[in-house]
Amino acid sequence: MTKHLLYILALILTLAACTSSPHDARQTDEAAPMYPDYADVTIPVNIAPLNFLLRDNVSRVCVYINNVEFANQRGNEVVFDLEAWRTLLAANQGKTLEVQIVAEDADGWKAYKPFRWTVTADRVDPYLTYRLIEPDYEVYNNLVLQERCVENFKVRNFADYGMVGNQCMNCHTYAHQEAGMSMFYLRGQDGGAILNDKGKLTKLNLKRDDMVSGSVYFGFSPSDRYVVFSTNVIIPAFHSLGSKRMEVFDTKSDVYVADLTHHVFIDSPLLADSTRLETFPTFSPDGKYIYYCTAHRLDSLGGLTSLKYSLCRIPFDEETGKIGTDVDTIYNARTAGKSVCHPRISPDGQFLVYTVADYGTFPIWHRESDLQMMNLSTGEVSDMPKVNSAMSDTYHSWSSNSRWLAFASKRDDGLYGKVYYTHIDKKGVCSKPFVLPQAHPSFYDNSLKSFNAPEQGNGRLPFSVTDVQKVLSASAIEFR
Amino acid sequence: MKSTGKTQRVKKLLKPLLILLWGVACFLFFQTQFPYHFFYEEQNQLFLMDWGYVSTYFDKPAWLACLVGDFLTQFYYYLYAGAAILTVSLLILGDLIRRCFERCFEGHRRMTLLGWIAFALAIAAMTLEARLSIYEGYKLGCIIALIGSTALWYAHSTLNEWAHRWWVHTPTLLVLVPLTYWLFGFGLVVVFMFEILRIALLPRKSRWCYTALIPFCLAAMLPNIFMHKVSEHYCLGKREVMLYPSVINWVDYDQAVILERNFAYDNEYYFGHYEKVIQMYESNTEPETEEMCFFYCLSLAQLDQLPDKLMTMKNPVLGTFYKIGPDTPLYTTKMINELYYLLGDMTYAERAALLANTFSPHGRNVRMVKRLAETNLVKGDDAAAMKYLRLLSKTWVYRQWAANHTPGTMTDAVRQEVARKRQFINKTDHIRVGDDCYTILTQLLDSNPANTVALDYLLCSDIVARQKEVFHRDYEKYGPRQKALYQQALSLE
Repeated sequence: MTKHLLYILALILTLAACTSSPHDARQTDEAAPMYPDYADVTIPVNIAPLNFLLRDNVSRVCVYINNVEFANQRGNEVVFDLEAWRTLLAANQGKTLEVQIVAEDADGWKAYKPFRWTVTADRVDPYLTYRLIEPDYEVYNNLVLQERCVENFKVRNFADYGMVGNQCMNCHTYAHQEAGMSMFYLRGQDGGAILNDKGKLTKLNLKRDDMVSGSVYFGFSPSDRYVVFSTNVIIPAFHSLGSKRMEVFDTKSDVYVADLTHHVFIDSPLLADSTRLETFPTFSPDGKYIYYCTAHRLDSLGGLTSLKYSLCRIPFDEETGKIGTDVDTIYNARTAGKSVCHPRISPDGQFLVYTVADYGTFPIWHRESDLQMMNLSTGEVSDMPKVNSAMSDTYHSWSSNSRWLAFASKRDDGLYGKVYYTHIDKKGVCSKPFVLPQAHPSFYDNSLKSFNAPEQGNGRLPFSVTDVQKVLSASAIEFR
Repeated sequence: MKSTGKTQRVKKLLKPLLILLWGVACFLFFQTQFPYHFFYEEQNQLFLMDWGYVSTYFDKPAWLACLVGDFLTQFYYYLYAGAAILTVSLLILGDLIRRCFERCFEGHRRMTLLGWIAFALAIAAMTLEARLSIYEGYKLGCIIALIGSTALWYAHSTLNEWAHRWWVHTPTLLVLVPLTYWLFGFGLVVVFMFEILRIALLPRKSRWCYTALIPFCLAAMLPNIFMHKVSEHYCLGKREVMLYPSVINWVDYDQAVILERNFAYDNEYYFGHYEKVIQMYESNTEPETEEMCFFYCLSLAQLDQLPDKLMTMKNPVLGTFYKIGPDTPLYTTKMINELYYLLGDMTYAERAALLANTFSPHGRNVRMVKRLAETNLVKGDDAAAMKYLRLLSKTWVYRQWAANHTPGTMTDAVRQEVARKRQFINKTDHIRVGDDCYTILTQLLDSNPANTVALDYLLCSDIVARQKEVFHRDYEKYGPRQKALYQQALSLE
């Protein structure tokens, strides 16, 4: 009997000795097939956990941070504990973390090539708004505008198709990242520009008979008194080459300013020239200029590839509400050979980021679309090589501290836009972008929606879907 | 004595026998009359075996009903499974309804008669649900919602039968109301219905009656009190909040039969049974629809017979005159997708697939997702194709299909098919406003003069539109093509 027990004990010990553990992992030079790619990124101290999965046939994954086991989970997914994550980042502000992923496959444990996470004390704005839409922008169905807290995974719809009769909605934009002041559009019957002023919603009719359309792209002045907006006649078209897919362009467009206090429009022949297209207006952070993109009007569809927009600015006086007459060209499309859109200036006035594409005004479907950054003090232009990808990178927005740029990129599959964050330090040095983390690592794999027009906000929007539903039936404020 | 026992046994077996007969009749009815409806319903969703996906069901009420319903609906893909799943679901529902009615009738005289009334009411409810299921948009989740809420009320009443105390009844009912709504949505109506019936049938002077009314009134107030919050939480309008997930549509039976016929052509074409589509069309004695004719043309084109049989059709529907946009019916968008995929224009095939997917319930349609994977494989856009193949690899039914199409593990047959289709895609870039099929066809032929399917559609469209000059010009430019129809058309002055 004793003999038998000894044999069994010996067998158990032998088996235990044969069973590998993460500590016995074979080291490989292979980069972890991690999705989303969070290797070697700079992250803000207040970001939600970077949950990920491994695109590998593994049954267990361990994550070691600075040689300490931080996660040990079955399957190929890693979902970090929120509190442990917060503690980890808080304790490592300004430091670099060494991350080692070890996974168990059919051959035992293997350790992938380690990488780093740099935790910066520059906080990202806690909220992000965006529109979820299928990647075919000519039609819409079941649209929602969402607000996501990026410090955790809480997400809510603040405008929802179910509450507004499946109407189109778009472009929620904060005034200087302030949750108390923002605007978005509800299109269709009873639609209008919905202005959020400290939670009080009002509907504005930003359209006059002589305008080519209602307002499309817009931005607030620093005092919040003025909104500069474009009116655009937008035409969707399609490429016959499959990889290019869609083209959207303007046949007419002008820029106006709306005075939200006196409900009047302010215009200038320089911004509403019928021979030219003017669009993508935005105020400079000091309110002294309106930046906008402009090009000659298209004569025929055949000339679309020569439709290249320059970036200009024109003075504006917030005191008098007058548009100046001296137009500066900041980016000359003719000499650069590219088309520029979506100019956005950092709140500290230091950097101007815009999108460049080969032609046109719809960079989200142009794979060559890239972000460029101009240092407004020196005029130096950066191609942002660490930030851009082989697919479309555009629709960017700044954080209130000017250190984080959120933008939409189709780098994964060329079809579905996702929100990426990149850190930009005071000298304009950019870090490798990381995608907005999600509670479930497979979220992006499972999603059939694009994240469109992401905007960073410093607080929770003070209104809900039912407030939006109510304002839809209210009468709109008319502008003269 | 012996015969009485026999009678008793027969009486005992009568209800199960009737139920069995109803079940067989229901199965046969759906399997023989509406088998293609099940394929349509299966294709109109994309159920993923993934926790991240499953957790999205919590975003709306009736998550359990929708989850179970969608999970089971994916198996409609298999022959006979649709009718079998639906029949079993209806039988379960019927049995629960019968039990609930019997529970309400308990304590009354003439229980035998009341038992039969409960049985008849259950049969009526099952039949009503079966009739509603003829509508292609009536989801299995609606039946599951009724099953779940009926089961919950039955469990609640059983507990109260056992405890028979107000302090058990009141809290369980107050919990039951939100719980039923959370799990089964509109099924809450069933809870209230049975609760009212139960109270109404209690002896009038029973103390229990008054203690029953108070909790019922409290419970009945809950939906009114929380309606606004629930509506905001789930982002549903007031009507949708009350009816979710039900989409009740008393569809006209004859219309459903016509739709079934269209689905038959559509699905046989989708399964690659082109000869069967041709045989169905040519032996059809019923009034023909545009859709039947459209799929007949597609099948003829697949077998290189379109010009041979074009003139045998009274009103040929080639699909080349269809336009797609926000107001195009979903079904037409899907048809256009099939047309452009066959012709080789991957931009418009992808666009139609994206639109059809967008306008499907919850923006998910597995057939369109498959097509999106295919169009991107043909274009050589593997990154985009992988997006869809990853989704399909998480399904129960299509995971093998996804593996067979995944670059790296692609089968030879798929590789050959992709290479064959790739020959016919556009080689040069043009920017096109709108979807004028004439331009699309000529651009395809400019890229690939050997695209005989595009050529047949171009020339046949000219003939159908009676554009003699255009036909001559097109034939001269893109011909010759040795088909009797074209020779006849050329010989016409």
